[in-house]
Amino acid sequence: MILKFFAVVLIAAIIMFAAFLYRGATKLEEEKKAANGNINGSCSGAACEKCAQRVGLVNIIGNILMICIKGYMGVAGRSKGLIADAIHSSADLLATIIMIIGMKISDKKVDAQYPYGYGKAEYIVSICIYLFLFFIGSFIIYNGVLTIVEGRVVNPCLSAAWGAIFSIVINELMFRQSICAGKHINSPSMQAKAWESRSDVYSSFAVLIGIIGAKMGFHFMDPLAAIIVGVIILKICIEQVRDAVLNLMDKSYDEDYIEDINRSLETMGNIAGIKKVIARELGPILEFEINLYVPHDISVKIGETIKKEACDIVTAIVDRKSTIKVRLFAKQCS
Amino acid sequence: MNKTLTILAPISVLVFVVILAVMYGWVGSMDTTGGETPERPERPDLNTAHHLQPAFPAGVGNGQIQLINKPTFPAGVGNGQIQLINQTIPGSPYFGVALVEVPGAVKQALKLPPETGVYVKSISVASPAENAGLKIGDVIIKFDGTTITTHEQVGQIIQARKVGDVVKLVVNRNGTKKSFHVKLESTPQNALNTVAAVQQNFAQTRQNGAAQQNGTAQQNGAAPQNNGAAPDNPFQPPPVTNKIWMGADIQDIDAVMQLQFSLPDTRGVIVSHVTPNSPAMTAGLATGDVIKRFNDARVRDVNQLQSMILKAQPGQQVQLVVLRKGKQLTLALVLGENTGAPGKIPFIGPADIAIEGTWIGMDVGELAGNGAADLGLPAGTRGIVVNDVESPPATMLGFTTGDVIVAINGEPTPDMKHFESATQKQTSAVVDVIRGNRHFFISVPPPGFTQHGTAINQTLDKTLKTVAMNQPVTQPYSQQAGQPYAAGQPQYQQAMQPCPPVQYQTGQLQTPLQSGVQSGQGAAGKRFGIFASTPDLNSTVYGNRHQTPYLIMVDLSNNSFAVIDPANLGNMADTFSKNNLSALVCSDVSSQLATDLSSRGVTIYSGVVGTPDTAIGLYESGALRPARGL
Repeated sequence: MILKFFAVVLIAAIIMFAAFLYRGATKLEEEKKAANGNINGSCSGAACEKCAQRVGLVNIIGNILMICIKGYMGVAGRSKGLIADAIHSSADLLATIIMIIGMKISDKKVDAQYPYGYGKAEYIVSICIYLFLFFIGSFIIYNGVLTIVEGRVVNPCLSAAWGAIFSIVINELMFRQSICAGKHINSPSMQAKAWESRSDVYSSFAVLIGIIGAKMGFHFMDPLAAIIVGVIILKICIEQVRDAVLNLMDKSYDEDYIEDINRSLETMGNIAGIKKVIARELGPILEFEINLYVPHDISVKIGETIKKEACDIVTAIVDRKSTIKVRLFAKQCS
Repeated sequence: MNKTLTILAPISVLVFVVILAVMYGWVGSMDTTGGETPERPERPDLNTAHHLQPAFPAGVGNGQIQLINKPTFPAGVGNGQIQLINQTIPGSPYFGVALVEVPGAVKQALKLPPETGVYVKSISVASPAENAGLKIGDVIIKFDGTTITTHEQVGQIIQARKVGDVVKLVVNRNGTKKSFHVKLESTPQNALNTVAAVQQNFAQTRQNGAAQQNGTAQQNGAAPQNNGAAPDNPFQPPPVTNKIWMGADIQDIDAVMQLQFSLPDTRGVIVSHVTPNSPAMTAGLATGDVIKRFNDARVRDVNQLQSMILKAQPGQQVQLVVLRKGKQLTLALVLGENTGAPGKIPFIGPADIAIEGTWIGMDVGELAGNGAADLGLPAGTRGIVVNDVESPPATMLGFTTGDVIVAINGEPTPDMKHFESATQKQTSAVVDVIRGNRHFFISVPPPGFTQHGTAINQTLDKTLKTVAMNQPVTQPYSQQAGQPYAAGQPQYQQAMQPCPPVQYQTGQLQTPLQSGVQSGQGAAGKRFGIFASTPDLNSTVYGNRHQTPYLIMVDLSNNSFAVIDPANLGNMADTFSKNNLSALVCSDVSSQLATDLSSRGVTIYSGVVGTPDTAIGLYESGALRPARGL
């Protein structure tokens, strides 16, 4: 009884959430029209800014709702695929949570013990969580294969299919919102997140096909969908752990960015050349180290202006919170 | 606060993930025992294992049932038959099912591991089990969290619970797991009789059940002679009668019929007989036609077609699309109204027949000259009469003593010569049978297959057959008298009026065993009635408190009997006086009817369990004691 009530509340929440997203999307559409289709222009209004700020929250709420509904319907409807998909959504949610934790940690003031701040704590948390999820994902695949090999009958009921349909709809709407907001405020990271939502749509679609297939009598299809989702979870885990490890090792930031910055810096009139531009990630913060050659006879005052200018160039290109260190080296006359 | 949240959030999500992963594992393992769900699920009636059931499997939810096996119980009137006193302990928890060991073939079909579960053999009407949606044929795997291996376990669990407790049970139904929550109720006073009665001789009940469940005898709505529908399930009250008819007997198609009639699939219903001068005859419907569509609606099975027919009006013209010899025809049929004259109820004496041969476990003989009349068949009917149905596969297929085989695979069998040649030719056969006023097909699958074309495990089947045949015969009366009753066939009396709803009052029935007049020739007359669950001497003695039973009328003077179908029973007391019946043998009786009958001088023997056959023996030998204080 309580469970049924729970399910009804959940479904109501999901439908409201979907309605909210849909309304948001139509609003943005109007906004876009008002801006004469200027999608690639930077920001087309305060509405977009607001929308973009909400993307993170919307993602969290959406994912929590979906974990609940998919978990519930998966268990009640006896669909392996849907439960696996719920775990997949959990992985997404965890990624968001880790990001927020990272922000919180990096906000912490540097202290004597950690003079460079706590930026890398995020990676350690991330590695722990994703190694754990890796284990879960392996279990999903192992159990799914076992189910198929042993020929067990997984007979999901149609409520499971509804769970998958909800998931598809919500993820698609979230994708639309994120990609729109990401394009408008020109944030590649937000767009990347949006595409993650899109991949969730595909995995939910696989699950839906699995459930319907199982309903039609191909009982192996539901575990097969679970295996596919398991593989996706493993892929996420591997990527995340790899990123975390690489960042712990101070891997260089995206080459393209560096080149962009290089090119922009070259346009500066008063420098003699670029010695080196390196960057690393410290959690959400990017740390740039820019070494420039300047003529040896400039004054310190001009030097400071150059530093300021370089800073501005970098911040204009990079859309993330960053610390920029500019060092000037005297260029010998050749 | 914020800090705790940051730590709590991922941890809670991780915990959730772990829970989900555990559930994920469960979903797989929960169905470990499930087999492929067959397209047409094998009903448990297709096996012989029921012969192995003990006469009194311990029942459930009722103190009495457990007592049956105890020697201290004041009962036992020879031959393993027990006349039960209608005593109950009101207030003890009650579940309302009769359980037995899972029959071997069911185990096989569901791929159950050994020592798993118990089989639901019957369910009391309006019991908690029925309300919860439990069905006959379910295999209870878990009860209240305990994995069940024997039926006694269930009884113990129920006894340990209180009235109003909710127990969860997991059953395997046709290979899929289902779980139910059942709220135990307090034992109704009449529960005992029903449960005890239906426990008796399930093997025989099953035979009839087989015929009905497999659709071999389904011809209700479309069959005029019946004036309504025969109950699909002997434990259900008969549905309301309906006047609309088209005058054709129809049946579901099984794999054997599909093969024999070269049909593309088993969809639709097959016409087994067309009544002369009926709308069906006028429309040009013929035996062997497959009705595919009824007024553009696709016909799936008999039940569906019946419901469509019952929705129509008399005089309405309907379009039937039939398949005849591979060609589709469209027939226009004007539905008529059943005006069949009420039939007389003939008492059927032993037919003048000699056992001439055996086939698939039945003794068969040529229908002698006056045999047709004796069986209530149209004069001039020629065929092979079934004298005795002894062993599988015939017992499993729904044959009954007294069936007249008129054709096999479309080849008429007017005499033994034709019959033999027809049977020798075929491995599988569709047998055209006349029983009473009905014609229908009975499919005989090739050895090792069920009627639905599913292969049954040969070795297991053989073992079971051997065991079943070695079981002592539990019908002493038939044994003594050899073949005393030629199968009487149900002759249906036109319904005079529907049965009045039976009011049931508790505490009125007392059947003291210690005193009472002895039944039998001395005290009672030669003609008496028995309430039975199905129109068959091998069914179960029944009561009239929950549903209207079949009334088997027995005339001891010439060893004959007749059956009245519940739908046509009318006023019971009138029937008794009209047919000059001096006694009623039943498992329980409503106080109203008891008073009614007593006032007309009918002696009532209540609390009898077992088959009507044994009841006749008990009655004849004077072993029954009449109920007093009515």
